[in-house]
Amino acid sequence: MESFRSAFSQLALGDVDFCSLRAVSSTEQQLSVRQNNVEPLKLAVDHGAMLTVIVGSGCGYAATADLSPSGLKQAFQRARAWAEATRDLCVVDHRLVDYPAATANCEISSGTGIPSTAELLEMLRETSSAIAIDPRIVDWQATLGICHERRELYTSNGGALEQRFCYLTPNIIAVANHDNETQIRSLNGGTACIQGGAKQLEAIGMISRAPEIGRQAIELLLAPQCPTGRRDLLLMPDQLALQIHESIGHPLELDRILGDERNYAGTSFVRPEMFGSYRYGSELLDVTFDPKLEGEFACYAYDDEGLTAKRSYLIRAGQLERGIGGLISQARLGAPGVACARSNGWARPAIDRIANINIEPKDASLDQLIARTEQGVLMRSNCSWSIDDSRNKFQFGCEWGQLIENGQLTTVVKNPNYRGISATFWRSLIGVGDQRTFEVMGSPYCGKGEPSQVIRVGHAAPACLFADVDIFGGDQ
Amino acid sequence: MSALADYFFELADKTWAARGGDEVLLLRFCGETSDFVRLNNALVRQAGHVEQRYVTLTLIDKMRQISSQLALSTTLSEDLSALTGELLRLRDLLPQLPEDPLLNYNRTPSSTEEQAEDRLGEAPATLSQIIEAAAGRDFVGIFASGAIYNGFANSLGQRNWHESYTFNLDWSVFADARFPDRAIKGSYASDHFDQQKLAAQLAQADRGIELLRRDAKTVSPGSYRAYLAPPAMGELLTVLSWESFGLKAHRTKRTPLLRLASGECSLAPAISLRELGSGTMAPNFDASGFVRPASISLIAQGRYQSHLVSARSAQEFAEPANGANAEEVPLSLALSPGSLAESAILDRLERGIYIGNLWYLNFSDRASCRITGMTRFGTFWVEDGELVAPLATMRFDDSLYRMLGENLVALSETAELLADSESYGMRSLRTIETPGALLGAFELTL
Repeated sequence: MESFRSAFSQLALGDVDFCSLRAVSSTEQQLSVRQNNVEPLKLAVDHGAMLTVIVGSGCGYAATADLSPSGLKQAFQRARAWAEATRDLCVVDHRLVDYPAATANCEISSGTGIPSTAELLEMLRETSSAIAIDPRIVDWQATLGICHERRELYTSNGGALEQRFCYLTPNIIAVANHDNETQIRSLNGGTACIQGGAKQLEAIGMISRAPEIGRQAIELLLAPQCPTGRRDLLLMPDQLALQIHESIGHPLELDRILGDERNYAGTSFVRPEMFGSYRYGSELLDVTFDPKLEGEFACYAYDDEGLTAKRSYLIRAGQLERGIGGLISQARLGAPGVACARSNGWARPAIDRIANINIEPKDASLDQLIARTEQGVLMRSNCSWSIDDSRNKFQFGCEWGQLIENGQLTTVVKNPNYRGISATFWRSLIGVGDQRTFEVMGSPYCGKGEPSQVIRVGHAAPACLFADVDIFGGDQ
Repeated sequence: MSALADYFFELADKTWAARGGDEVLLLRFCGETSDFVRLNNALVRQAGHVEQRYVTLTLIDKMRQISSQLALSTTLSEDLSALTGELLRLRDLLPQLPEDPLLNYNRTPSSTEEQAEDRLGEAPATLSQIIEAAAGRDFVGIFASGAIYNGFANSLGQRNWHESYTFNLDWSVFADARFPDRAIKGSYASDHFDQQKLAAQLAQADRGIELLRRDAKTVSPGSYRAYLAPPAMGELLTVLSWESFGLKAHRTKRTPLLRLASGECSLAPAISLRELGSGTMAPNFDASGFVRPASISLIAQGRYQSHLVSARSAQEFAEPANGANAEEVPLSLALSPGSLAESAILDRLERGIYIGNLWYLNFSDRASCRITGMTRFGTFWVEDGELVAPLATMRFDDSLYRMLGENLVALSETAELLADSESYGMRSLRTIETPGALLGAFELTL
């Protein structure tokens, strides 16, 4: 922490109105065992810094991996030049943004006790060996990504922050084939991503879950197509992660509502006047921004502009309360937001990002949700996602479907898909599971922004039951 | 050769000096010097400058390999120290790894150099011209400009370098605050900015904007005649790129084109698709040192032809590598044009939907190569061969075997070169060259 603090203090800032130095460093390893063979180990060591400068109403940034005093000075000058060049040209008068001056040094997740590379490879080899339970499994793989990251932020108004993280990205994939039919089953559709160390990795249970993933791939290969028609839909947490992400998370991003993303990721059906009054879902729907849920993938204490991250309700009892937007968006819109200005690393600027967005559990057991369903389909593990640029008309597909008939789980079905409209879908929420159905999921692949950035997000949810949804399968 | 190329090859040569015994070292370089300006309502949302350079060092000793990517500061002593330090770490770890049966790299040095001239102006000056040209419009988008570098060297003596200087202004103009999702989209990518060219694009967009202010036509789900303009076809070919053409995806049965490859299904005879390896924006070498051939025929006259083959797949399935990246994803797809004259498109469409762009495509049933997605920018209802109204956003869900098979009426006679404006990690060098497609039926579902 001292080296960047010292380097920042030595920059001759002159008469700029504000300056920050945000440094990100990480070490990463990607481990993979495919068809019981260890794939080449891939490591990465990254470090760099972004200088942001405000001069008058203008703002500019410059990013560099040259962290010497002369490298940082050059970056500062480039950022300053862009700030000068954009005076009176910006969508917001940057002098009006009140940047906090937080000071803290915190370990968000430590990676404590993570086994050695050799031990991890052995664990993946054991996992891989347990997947291929049938000759119709034609490809299979067990993977694990481990990333240790340190983020630092120093500001000209006295802020000094350091946060440290350890991200775990596990997956298991089984590909089953017969003739021209292929089915793929994976570990939660790739959403079993968490922060933590050995304890959290152990809890995922890769070795013990591998045979089930192999068996389910074969079951899907032999299964009939998901039927077509309107039925109730029971979504499990690893599909809800995607449903929350696309049809609650993105539409509530304030930068979309402000139009910044219209050329790329899109706009939103949510308008500013809806905050505080709009019925987003049924009364069962409570949605929180929760940066502190232990182990969730996007936990942090401060965002990349130094704003303190606090748990807040976005939707309470179905009513829309606030959006997902950091300091700049809040200032532009005059609406409440959350601490969510984040960047994927040192080479891209912070923008409004989804972080941990969760559905709060209620009191129904999974058995109760199934028992109350006359005709429905249970779906798990996303494999297809598509939604319009206003984040309204969606169509999602899952790896795994199972019919619910007269209150009982019955036939497994393949290629289960459903479609709907965000603005009405959440109002058809008729049952929310209890804490025992609640699971914490995450993904490293939320894409957005110009320039483009992928970022880590977390979504935790209980099982949720929706009434009368348009459901369908693949071609016969 | 540029100063950065000299730097990379000097760094490589000094790294080889730390090589031991029978070790083989590979170094892959990538970097960008980019200015990014994000625009909203013809004003600046964010503006900045990014310099990033990375090398990936691969250590190979007999049948074992391990690699590590490092950020470079471009100070030689510092980078050399980091690289040789990392080599020691890799050397320590390597014995813990088993032999890699799929190890493969180019053992016959094949050096290449593509060095473009820097004709880009200063980014702030170009920004002023963009804002001046866009004035009075709700203009949104990204201006990305600068150098993109790719290099490769190995201790066997191979050297490859690719350095380009381009900008990509990816923009859209919105019609009216009352209709937040109605816009005309355009793209201007080149190696030299000309304000007149942008002004001409914007003047053409203004004519579409007038149409977008009309009352929208709402249609019911069902089957419609449709024309997919080149950017819409580009989206279709982009989603098709995921796992469709790689040898590994075919041999492990994951490709959505399984039925095309087996001959159970075919596309229309007008469909011929190639991956180009020369004369494109992308480098012509991969991370293992293999050089891409000038052209690979993927689909010819509607029938599946050949695959993209990475170094590892070549070893696994005993076929020659053809310079494909590890993911076996195409970089420079080219769909051959057809015979439909640009001036005849609306007449031939007669009544149906003119689709300027598609958005957020994904497979809904991979076995049937069924793809779903949304209509987006510049999509209109057509009556009697005329654009008459904007179309309210609709979802489609249709099989490629129908869209570009039995329902393909014609491809347009001009193929448009679409430069990818995405910049995940670094600015993309991917391109798609495609004509538009007139379809007799296109399935809308929501």
